[in-house]
Amino acid sequence: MAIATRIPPELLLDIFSTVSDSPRHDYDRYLERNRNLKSFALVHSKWRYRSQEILQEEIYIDTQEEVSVDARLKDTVGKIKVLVDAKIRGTKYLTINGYLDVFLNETESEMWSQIRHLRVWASGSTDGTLSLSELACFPRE
Amino acid sequence: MFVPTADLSSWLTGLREVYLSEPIDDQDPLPGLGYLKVVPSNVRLVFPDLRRVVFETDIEIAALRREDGTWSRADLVTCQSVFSSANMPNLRHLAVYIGLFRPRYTSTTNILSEFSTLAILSDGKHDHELFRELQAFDKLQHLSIYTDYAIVPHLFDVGKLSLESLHLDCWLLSREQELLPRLVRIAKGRDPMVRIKRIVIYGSRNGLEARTEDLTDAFEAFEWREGQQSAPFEDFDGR
Repeated sequence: MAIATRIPPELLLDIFSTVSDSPRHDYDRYLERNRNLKSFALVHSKWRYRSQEILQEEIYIDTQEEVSVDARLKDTVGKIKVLVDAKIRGTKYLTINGYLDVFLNETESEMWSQIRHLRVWASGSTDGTLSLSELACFPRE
Repeated sequence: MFVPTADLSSWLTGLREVYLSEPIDDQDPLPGLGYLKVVPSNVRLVFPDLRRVVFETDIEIAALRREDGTWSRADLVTCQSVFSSANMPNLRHLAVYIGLFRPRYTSTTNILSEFSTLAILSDGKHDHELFRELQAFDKLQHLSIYTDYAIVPHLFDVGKLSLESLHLDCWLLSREQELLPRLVRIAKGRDPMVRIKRIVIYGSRNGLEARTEDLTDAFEAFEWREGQQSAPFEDFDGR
């Protein structure tokens, strides 16, 4: 356990980033990444902060595809609520296989103001469209 | 939620990479055409950090939705103003899927000349039209292609072509008989119309060597990435 406490924070961040890197179109790999980072957080209290930091960098909301609009909407809102309750901050990578407008409406800007990489459906709003102005909701620092 | 409004004289956005796609319906294995809605006030939107756009399925970028739910083309002046080097000054990487729908990037954008990399993924019949649009990519350095269409007549025989690198799947070489000898000629600098510094092939060369014994020595002219099954698409940066 002693070695766990002696690794410099910057190196820890590098290690976590490397082992948790996931292809950003693969939901299963995203879930596996999250499981790994949660495990790292339990190793030692000094690891917790860094692993949480990496954990929050990426959000992937995957909703059921073969359901009605209402069911998908409910699914999207439910998954967003989990993120809001967890007070996610500092996300850089956002994938929404659901509704982008719902995400923006249900969350505070602290959650997405640092998003730099966005993956979204072109029918990514509840009216079945995606507006260029919705892509502009992520401010420049 | 904060959404930029028409009240703002301009709005700077921090996005660096945007990936757009359409959900795939199991009942209809080919995804439909996705629409990116553009309105006149969008000319105020500036994407100073945007460097990569990926259309993972057919995307129509110049669209307006009518009240009856049908789509019409947005006015081209607006689209060309938004998709321009003034509003997207650092956009360099484009990856496009071309399926059932005809790409119209030449008429709807004013930015093709700024791209340094282009990745094309196609299983449709319109990719030759994008090949034709390549003439508008003035600064194109790196091209990655995965297509069902013949490459030689539509890419190499349409005019002069000069690239830093061309990235292809190995299976394309066995499918299109003329392609391999032509690539060998290009790699050796003996093609008067086509200049490509690096030709990168993805996939195993073993199966190909058995079928093209007379050309296997020439394979050394290419850079092989046998550990990767297909040419890069969404993360393509020319390396």
